[in-house]
Amino acid sequence: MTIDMEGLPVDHTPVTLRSFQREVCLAVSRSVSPWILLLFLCLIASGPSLANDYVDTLIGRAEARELWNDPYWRTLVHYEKGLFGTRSLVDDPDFFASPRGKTDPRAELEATLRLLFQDPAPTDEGATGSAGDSLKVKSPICRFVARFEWLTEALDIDESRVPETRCEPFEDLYTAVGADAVSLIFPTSHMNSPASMYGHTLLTIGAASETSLLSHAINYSAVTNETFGPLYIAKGLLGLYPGYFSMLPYYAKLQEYSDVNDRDIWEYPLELGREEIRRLFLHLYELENINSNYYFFSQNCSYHLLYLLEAARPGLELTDRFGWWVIPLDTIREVQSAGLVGEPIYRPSKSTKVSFLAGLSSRTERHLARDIAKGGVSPSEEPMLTDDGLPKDTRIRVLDLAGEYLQYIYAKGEVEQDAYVPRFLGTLRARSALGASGEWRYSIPPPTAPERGHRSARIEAGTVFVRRGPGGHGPLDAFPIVAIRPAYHDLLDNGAGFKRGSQIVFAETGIRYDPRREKLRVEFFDAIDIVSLAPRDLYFHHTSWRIETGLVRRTDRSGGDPLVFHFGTGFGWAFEMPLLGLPYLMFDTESQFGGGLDPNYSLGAGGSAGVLGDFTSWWKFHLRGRAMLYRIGDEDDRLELEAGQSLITSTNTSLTVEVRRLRERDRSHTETWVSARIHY
Amino acid sequence: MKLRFGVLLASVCVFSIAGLAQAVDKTNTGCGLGSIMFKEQNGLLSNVCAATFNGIFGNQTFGITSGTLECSKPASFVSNEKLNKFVRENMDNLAVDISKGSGEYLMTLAVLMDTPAEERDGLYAKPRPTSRASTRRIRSPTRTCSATSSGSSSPADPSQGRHPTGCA
Repeated sequence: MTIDMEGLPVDHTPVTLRSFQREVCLAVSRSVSPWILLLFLCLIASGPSLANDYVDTLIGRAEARELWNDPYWRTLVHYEKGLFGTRSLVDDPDFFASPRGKTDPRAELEATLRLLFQDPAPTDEGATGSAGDSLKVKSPICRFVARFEWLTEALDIDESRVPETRCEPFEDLYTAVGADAVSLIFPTSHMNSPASMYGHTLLTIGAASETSLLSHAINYSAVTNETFGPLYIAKGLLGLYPGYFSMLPYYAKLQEYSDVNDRDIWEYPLELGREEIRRLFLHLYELENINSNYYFFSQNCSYHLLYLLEAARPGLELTDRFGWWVIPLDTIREVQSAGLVGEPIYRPSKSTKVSFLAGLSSRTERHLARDIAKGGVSPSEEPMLTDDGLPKDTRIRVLDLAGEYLQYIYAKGEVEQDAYVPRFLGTLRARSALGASGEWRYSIPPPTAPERGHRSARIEAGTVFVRRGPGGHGPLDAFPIVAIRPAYHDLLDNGAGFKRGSQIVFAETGIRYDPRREKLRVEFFDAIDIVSLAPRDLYFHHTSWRIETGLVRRTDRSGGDPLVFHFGTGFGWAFEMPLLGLPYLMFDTESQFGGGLDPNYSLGAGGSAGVLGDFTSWWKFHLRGRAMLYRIGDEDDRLELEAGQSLITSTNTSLTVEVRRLRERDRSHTETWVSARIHY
Repeated sequence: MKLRFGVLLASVCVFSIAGLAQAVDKTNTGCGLGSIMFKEQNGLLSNVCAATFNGIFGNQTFGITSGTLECSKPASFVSNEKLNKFVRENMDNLAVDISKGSGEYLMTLAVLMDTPAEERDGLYAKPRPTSRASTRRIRSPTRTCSATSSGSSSPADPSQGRHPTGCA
């Protein structure tokens, strides 16, 4: 399974005398003549009874101290205490020295010790999994290089009695990578991809130098060829994909995130010493080609990275703090509160650079730069780009903008390579004739760092006032309401640290109390509610969209309001308007199912228009109107007008008022929600 | 199908590497980096390679060892190999920095070439092509290069860069 892209020699195992003898023994003992003598020699050579005695001594020491209960041993083998006792989260049999290792820390410790004192020749033991090929050439010391270093110290092992104490391939790699600085990397969400909104983390490791481009990215990810969306998600939730660690040059990751996926990146330098980084790397080496089942929400990329940090600094407890739900950003907060994180560094993506430069330019300059990138204007022939045209500084900016944008559209596949090459070179040539610009010109002011935004979970408490009756002038009812959601961000929440115009809500439940009947009832359940408002402009032609599913209250024919299951989608456009925010238009569809409907389903289509006002940090509003016509199944027309506003009182608190006017089944009512919201 | 496409592209990439390795040697003897950059303008190709590799390797496991820059090479070659690899895989961004005479990619290049800090301004200023003569030299190999890769390369497909993780 390993792709040896550089044609590296894989077999670094030194041939020791003993292993050589064994090979000779096996070859010769099949032949006839002096086999008795040879067999005898073999017995002497490969019968290390003294070593066995020493292992027994060490195992005795480990038993006396119950070393298998040591937290560091639990970190190294990824043991977790669960409902069914202790289990390792690693699912690869090759990771264990003992066949019972996954569930038995003690057996694993003993087997590891015995293995380390075994003949260091390539062994087939345990190499039964798919990655077996590479393991056959890993000697025991290389398989368990981190365990060995720890055990040596913990049990005071006499290294002269161990067959092999040094894993050369590891040492080579360690030297090559120059491991003396580690950073935690957080690529922020990608505008139009719901999976990326959840976030991702990786590590970089490299030499402490003035540039981080040469460090290596350590990434844990699921491996799959599944492309069918629903199945992809379902399998991911059930842990049906194997997850592996990998290492790539960091610049390759930057190309992926920054140049192709439009994701800004935050780099958090970790305050780890050289010894700690070495331990991290030792453990990473043990995890090469070792798989653990990958669960999207719990045992995911960010969770498994925490093991590397725990391995780096014994005594650190990071993985214990998470349960069913591991949000990458929360892992950064944990690492931060463990005192490991320095000041973050912001790395804007290509599209952020384009937007920034465009924001500094006049309308004419923006059009000129776009025309150069699109090929309509040749920089060498354009009069505005000569000394008699625009001022030099402006020309520099226009050409830089054109160059960045051209790279952007090339990465998006909007321009063919044949056209791109001469256009790109022409632009750069014109640019280079103008001389240096000084980088200060383009230092993009960093936005609020993501971990300084509001926390992931939210609780809301307040009152809903409902007025029903003809024309909405009937009696006013008031119901206390509480809503809880584990993740993540909605359009009215404090936007600092989050992608503008994005909303991602998971599993929010609202419960309403009816004081007259003295009853609680579920008011709504938003399983998933995602909105992505991506403004279109001269440079970017984003499609905005939304998708939501869950349980909602709908008015039925008899005037009741039963819960129905619904699934809605919307596609459209958003724009950026000064002093207004983000206005948008969408085409919507909705399917509803439930016993309250007659028949028990209804399908409809319609449209919505709205505006999100978010131009201050302390006040936000969202106005929306939507008309839906249900024409299949239970027929009805539904009209919603909604005005919400939120007063942001601190990073994690806000006060919200939302007024909603609804017309369905030819009846109207007005709901007013007044609530306080706290992120925690 | 996808794999075959990848192998094809990989071989194209290897060709461009071979060409570049020689070119960079010249640089070290003082012929100016910019000319190489612009002469071997398959950096665009290198971008395609990178995007494609992302697509392929994104769907496969990837060893710890094999993902490094140069781990099995003898120490004395390390720097050169690193330099070659860096240049060919970051050519577009490097070209942009060169045209501006500053930037992170250019600085990284200086680090890889062991250029002392006080001499870097000279290095940054040197490679900018200014004359028409150099322009002409730049163009012809570029065409050849695009011709080599046409038919096999599609522009970096964003979907190929998609990372197969739940938290991507």
